[in-house]
Amino acid sequence: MRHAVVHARWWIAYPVALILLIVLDLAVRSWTPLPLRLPEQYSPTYLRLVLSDIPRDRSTTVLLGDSVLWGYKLRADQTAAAILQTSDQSTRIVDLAYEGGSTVNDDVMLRALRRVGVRPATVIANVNIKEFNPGDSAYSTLHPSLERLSEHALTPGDSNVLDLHFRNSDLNRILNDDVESIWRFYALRSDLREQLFGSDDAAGALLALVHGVTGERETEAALHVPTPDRFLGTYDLTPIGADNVAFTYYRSFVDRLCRNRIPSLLFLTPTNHQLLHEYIDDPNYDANLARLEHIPHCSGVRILNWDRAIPPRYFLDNDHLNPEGQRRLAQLISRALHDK
Amino acid sequence: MPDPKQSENIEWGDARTVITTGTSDPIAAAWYLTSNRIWPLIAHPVRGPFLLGIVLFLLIVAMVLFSPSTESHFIYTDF
Amino acid sequence: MIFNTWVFAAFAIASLLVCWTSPARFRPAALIGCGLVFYAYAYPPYLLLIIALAVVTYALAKVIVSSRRHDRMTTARWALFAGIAASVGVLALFKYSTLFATTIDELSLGKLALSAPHLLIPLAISFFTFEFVHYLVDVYLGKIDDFSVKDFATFAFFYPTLVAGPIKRFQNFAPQIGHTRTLSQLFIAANVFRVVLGLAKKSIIADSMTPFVQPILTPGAPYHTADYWIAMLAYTAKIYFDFTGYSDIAIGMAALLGFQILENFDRPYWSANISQFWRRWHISLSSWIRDYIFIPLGGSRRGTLATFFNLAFVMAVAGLWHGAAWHFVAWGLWHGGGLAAHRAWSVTLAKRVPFRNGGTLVQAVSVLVTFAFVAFGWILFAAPSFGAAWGAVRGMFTPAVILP
Repeated sequence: MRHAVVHARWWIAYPVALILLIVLDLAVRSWTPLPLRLPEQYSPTYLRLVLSDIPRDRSTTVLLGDSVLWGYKLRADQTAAAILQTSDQSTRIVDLAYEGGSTVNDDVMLRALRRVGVRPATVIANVNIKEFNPGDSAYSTLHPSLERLSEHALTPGDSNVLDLHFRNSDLNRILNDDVESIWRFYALRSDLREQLFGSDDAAGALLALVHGVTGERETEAALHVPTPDRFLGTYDLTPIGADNVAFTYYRSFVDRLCRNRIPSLLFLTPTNHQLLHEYIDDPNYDANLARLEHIPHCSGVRILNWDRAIPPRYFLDNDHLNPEGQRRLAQLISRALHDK
Repeated sequence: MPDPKQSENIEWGDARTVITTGTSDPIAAAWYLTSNRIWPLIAHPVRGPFLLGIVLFLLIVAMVLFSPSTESHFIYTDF
Repeated sequence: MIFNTWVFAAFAIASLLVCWTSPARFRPAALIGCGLVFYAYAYPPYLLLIIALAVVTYALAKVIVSSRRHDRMTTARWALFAGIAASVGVLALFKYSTLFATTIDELSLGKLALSAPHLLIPLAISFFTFEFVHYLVDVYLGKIDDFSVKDFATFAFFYPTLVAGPIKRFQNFAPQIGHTRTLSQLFIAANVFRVVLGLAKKSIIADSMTPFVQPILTPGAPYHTADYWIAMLAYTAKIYFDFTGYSDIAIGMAALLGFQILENFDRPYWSANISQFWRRWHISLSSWIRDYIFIPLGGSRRGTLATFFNLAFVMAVAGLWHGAAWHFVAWGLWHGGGLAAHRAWSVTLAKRVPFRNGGTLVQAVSVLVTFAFVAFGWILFAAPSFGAAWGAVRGMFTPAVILP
């Protein structure tokens, strides 16, 4: 190998490779797909592109929230956001919800939107009571990419309260960020992989394929049937107080909507009471719902309690909706928007 | 030069391989034949550098697309 | 500094620029400086450790040379033992003290509760201690007698091979230090390609295998029989591509800095027997073990039983070198047993079988059997404990989901 390749002139080989990489990068820059919803593990660059793509003219309805609104286990076209967009082509709808989203993330996402100069015509957000449980993994965390993108919008107060992924900059991360700022193809790698493989890496997709063949996927699925016992501890009935981090950010989120005069529709997430009967059919649960519903807010922000709005048969589990459930949610949202 | 002991019991087809590749070891012979077809491409003074550049490009793209994700993940366990 | 990080990429480019823009007489100093920076990046306090050990090794090597010249072989021998004790002692303290303490504790059923210091294992300690021991032994044997502190320091702190080898030999390395090379002689195209190929092997194949290996690490539900077989094959691929990828990067970077380092792998999974496998897998380690443990023990010169014992012993040491846990020793013994069995086969039955001169089918079967033997051995290597290894093997041969 060494004897043969010694004749390969490196001053030709490397420029050839470099030119091809530049061409590829230009192609990626000119064509970055922005599908109906965010990829599961979207990159900071992808989020920045999505936010930059939103018109500045207050013509866009933005959806914020978690996996319920994102459409867990559903295709993008089956979600309430897609249904709303199809039924009303006059308004552009951008779905910025994602799995693990929460009012903490909503507040920071709103800050990110304001930083790029976007003022939505309307914000629609689901407020999921389970995320106010200190034991919930979304309670005081941000999506890593949102955290990276919003680094400059986070205050010392945020750092004290939130479980941030990137507290200390290390040299490798700084260099990585520098490379991402130049090399778009590399910056969008997790998004491209998700488009190509349906997973944020090829190994994950291959593993899923192998598990489909070996039968482990069925075994895994059987172990994860949503039976009531799986939700023990998911819902905390302790009164939500001022020391609750999620509640603090929820208040901040509502205040921010009011200060920026953004007409908003917030709804308490529909919950499957048939499945969760033994945990949430309790006065303390309803008291917490009431605290969330009746938080002080301006007239431009409406908070609706849809906790019991959708019948149990339209749920996949405790709070995620099946396609028909998403259609019903879309109807509720549409009706609420027209009723204002 | 092939080891005389090794060439005692080989068939005519294998003998031809031995003459071509210098070995009766089928794996070593296969390696030699494969690599002998590739090296002239790479060693070519004009084609070689372009081919190397293309291969480098493909390797880099493959690394970006096929490497496991090392970015921080937010894994939310619904239940 | 892990090879597939941006920090290393920036460092490598910077080191190439520094080394190649330095005047030839300052190039060794530039290389030493790069090596010290590379080592300090991981954990700066341990830079003092490697420097101290290098100073001790060099000083004792000088004592050995001086003693040999004045025919004071006893002094030379003591200096050699002191040097080996220093290197191996440091290795034992940092890497094996916890294993020692927990083993004594278990064997004494808790009566002798020894507490080992919780020490962070210094980067590359397994590799540089072996290089230092080689250096001292070869000085003692008279194979190395002309060296300067500059040569030794360049050898000791050569960063491409510092973390994961190949384990260098001073006699191969040192003559290249003062040798001025031109850029074209560096085979730049070939070696940059080699570095990129090494990165690709590691990041695309080796790292991608990690999720498939999980059944060996945590056997039990929800894994099926096929998952364990896939895990074994995935680990077999993972360790090969990871290690050869590292070696490619190390050898490629070394070449770009002007040094030819010996190859470390030669298509090991195509080996027709276990003996051939160990001549093709991690060549620098197996040759080190042969030269500095197996041969001094007598090798194969003291009869069959002694040979079998020596094979088992050196492979157990090789296993322990890889990791401070008894399942690594078991892995070593697995291979030691294989080598002994192959030795027994070669000297007895092999001469009597009609197909001994081979043919394609025999060769193919030999390769498959050897591959299977090596692959099964990796289960002991990869599993975090004997229990996990046994769970994985059970899972491979039990056609049902193993529930915890």
